Amino acid sequence: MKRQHAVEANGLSVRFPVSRSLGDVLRRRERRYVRAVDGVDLHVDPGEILAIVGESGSGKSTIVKALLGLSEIGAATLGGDVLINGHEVDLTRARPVSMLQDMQLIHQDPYESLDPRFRVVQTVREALDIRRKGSRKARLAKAREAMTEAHVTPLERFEKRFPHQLSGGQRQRVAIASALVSDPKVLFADEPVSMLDMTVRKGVLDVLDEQRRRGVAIVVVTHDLATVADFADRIAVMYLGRIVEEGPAAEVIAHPHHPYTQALVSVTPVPDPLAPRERIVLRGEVPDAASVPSGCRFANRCPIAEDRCSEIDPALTPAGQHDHRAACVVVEALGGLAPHVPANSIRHRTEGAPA
Amino acid sequence: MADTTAGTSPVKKTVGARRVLALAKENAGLIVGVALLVVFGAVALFAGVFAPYPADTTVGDLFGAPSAEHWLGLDDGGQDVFSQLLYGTQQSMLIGLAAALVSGVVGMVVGVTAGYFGGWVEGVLMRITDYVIVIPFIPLAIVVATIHGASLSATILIIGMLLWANTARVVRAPVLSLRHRLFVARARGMGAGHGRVLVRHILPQVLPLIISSSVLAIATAIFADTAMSFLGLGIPGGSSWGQMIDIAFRRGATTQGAWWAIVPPGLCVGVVVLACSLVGRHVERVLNPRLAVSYMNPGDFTVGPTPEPKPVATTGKHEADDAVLRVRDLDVVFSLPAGEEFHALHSVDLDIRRGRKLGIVGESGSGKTTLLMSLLGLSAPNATVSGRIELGGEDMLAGGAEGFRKHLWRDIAWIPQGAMNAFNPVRTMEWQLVEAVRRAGPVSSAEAKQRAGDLFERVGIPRSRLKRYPHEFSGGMKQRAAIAMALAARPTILLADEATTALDAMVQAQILELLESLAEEMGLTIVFVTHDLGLVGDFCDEAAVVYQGRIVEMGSVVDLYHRPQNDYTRELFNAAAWSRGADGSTAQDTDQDTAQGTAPEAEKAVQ
Repeated sequence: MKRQHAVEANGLSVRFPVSRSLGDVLRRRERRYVRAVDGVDLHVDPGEILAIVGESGSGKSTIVKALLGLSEIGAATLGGDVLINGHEVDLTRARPVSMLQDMQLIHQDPYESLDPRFRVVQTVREALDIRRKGSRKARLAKAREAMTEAHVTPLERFEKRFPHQLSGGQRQRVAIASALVSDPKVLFADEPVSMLDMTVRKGVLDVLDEQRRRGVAIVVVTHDLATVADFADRIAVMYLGRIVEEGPAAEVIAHPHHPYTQALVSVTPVPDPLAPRERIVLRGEVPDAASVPSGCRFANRCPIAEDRCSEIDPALTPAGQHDHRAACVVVEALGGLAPHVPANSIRHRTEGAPA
Repeated sequence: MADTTAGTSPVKKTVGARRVLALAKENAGLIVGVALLVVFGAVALFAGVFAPYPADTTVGDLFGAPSAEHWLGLDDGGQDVFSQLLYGTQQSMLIGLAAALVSGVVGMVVGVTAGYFGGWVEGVLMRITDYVIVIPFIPLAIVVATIHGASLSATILIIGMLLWANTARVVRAPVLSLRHRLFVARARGMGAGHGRVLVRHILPQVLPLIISSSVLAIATAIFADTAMSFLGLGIPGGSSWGQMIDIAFRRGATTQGAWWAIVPPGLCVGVVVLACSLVGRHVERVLNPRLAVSYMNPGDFTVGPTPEPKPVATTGKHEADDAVLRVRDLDVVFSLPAGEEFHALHSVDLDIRRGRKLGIVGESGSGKTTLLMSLLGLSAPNATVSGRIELGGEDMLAGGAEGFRKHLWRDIAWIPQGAMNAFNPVRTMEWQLVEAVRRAGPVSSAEAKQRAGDLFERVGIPRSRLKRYPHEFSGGMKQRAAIAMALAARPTILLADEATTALDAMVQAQILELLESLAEEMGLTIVFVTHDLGLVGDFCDEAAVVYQGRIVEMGSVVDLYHRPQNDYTRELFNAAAWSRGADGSTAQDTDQDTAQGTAPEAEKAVQ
């Protein structure tokens, strides 16, 4: 039986118009578009964590903004079909309130997302206050419940505090509590721990993981593979507006197939100094999304690119095992095996390294 | 425990009389201003009670001199000047407060509306504001007084309608940025209407600004009323200070030498204006701590007493003989408002060894940035730094900030956090690099340009891009340029403050590769200040773990990772990986934030 996805997007695209100069207008040059998201299929099930991983400019945050219908996306042209809990979404219109409650966003920066003059309990309760849902007493009880779920406890100690009296981890948990107060079915988290200290990250990730186990679907957007390697159920790797590899998190990390994913995994810092390091350091930078190269968009930086790569625009095809897919003609030609990408920065440290 | 007020707090609180004294000293201006305003307010309210004589009643000779019965003498109508002064206070304060209220309310509404809604609303409102600001005051007063006739309400309205424009402009600017703040967007996203966002989120932020601007408006209003009265545009039969001066002047007080009829009301105007500006400015200062000059001149820190060198035998620490930078017994104490102190670093010993890559690891508020800044001699002015910081045997700290200055850039260079975003946007990269090259010593322009090009090529940027401006560079390129700038004066030690934190994984790998090759080729010693454990394990040879102002452990990264001696080191490295528990249980410790329980205070102290 096919479960109903919490979020399902097919062929999602987001294009931002590039403003034309007077010269362009006079010469009747066609308007160019930044193809921030360029035909992305994805889905998240209840009780599942999907991590969308990519570098800045890959379009990962734009996906979230498009799904939530945030105003920053205003000038863009959107395309594709999106279903939230089975309900079709009109991408061009503001989401109905009931749908907004079901989808909550947790921002990267807990120093910015909380009003500095609101006490913790006011911040958590705000969504209910806005909708004037139930009596004041009921709202307070609901807010306390959400705070407990997000481990902003003991309640008496935290309720009356202001954001500046909290540490980064506590602030982020308050932000999560203020999302949970609406009983969301989908949580979007944009780099939820990247601004936090190492020792407090676990507490925040734990809270999200508990929500997953209660059946909430979670989409985490991040540039940090290390954070989501063990945290997410599935990983989708993005490059220049496309998903280039997708599959179970452990599979993607242990057996990356796409050359880009292989490089990304290889350069992710490992705290163990004795772990052998065979890095594939890519040259150059991610191209401008306003002039996407023809064929495979990774071809010009790919260490194993072949001639046909600049002609064929590859689609996701099965790679490796367990519902794992990659968009690479070389992978496809190898019948789903991972091609060997040579490392260009190798270091093996041993115990007896110079002290 | 996460409670920041716990006993372990490194902030030393002062108590009792000393604290009161320290607070009073810092807020002397405010206290004087408020006291003066309270006195004038009380006088205004109870003029009838305090005044020895009734208002507008002849009680003696015209322009009678001050005496025991009439402390300030008599005026042109034989009225007691002291009593008239008290009644005048009543009217002057009423005009001041009412006009300030009018200008505050109108200014607030216009400023907030313009800033929040933007677009054409802002265009229309702000153009009106611009017009009001350039309307000359005196002609307007003459016109209104002529058409409408002078009266109390006319005076208040004229002054109020001229003063609001200033408040509107002052308020609009912060609202403009507030409306783009994340917490506002978040409230809107939850379905909050404009009214709610304005009242609950925006107004509380700008209210202190409106108050400060309105207090200053009281002074301006009283001053304006005095000016209007003196021009004969005051309230007919009024008794404000301005009227007193005007009437005494017109009735020949100056020719009769009756200074007592003019000077007291004049002084009152002066004192109220002073009190208002003291209060207004102070509210502004509390609002915007960056106005405090103390943060403008890093490097003007105080050098504390040099402690006696500890005998090597008692420290039990290995003295590295190849240390290029040696730190001993470094203590840094920040003095905070109200006489409090924040002890940021406690007797830190550190050997930075030649040609090594050392990581200084710690969480926010641990003291790692304080340590870095003291190594550079750039501690904040409210810091007292004591101990020894030796470069090649010379104690730089003994010479104070000056002791560091000749070594900065030439021997010790640094890449500040966010350096890539700190280029001058209106200068070419070449101009900025040439400036950096010349820090090393005098060179010809052609030579400096040649060297700037060499540096660019060395960090992997084509020489041809020298003529470009910073905004034409990508993040990774800017970070390369920041490294080139740091290397311009051929330093031997490079301090990098979170140099790769803001970069994507692949760009970070490229930058680390570059730093590694530079270290090898130029024999650079690199100190990496970071919170990223992965980076330390990957890149550094050695690391020092900073926790609550102390180096809790130092050694090779292999030892730190595989054989940590300190619980905090272990916790830190363990935290680098999250894993789903086998049984799916993630037992929660709500006091997760133990490790940085003191962080908020610490951040406050050093920022």
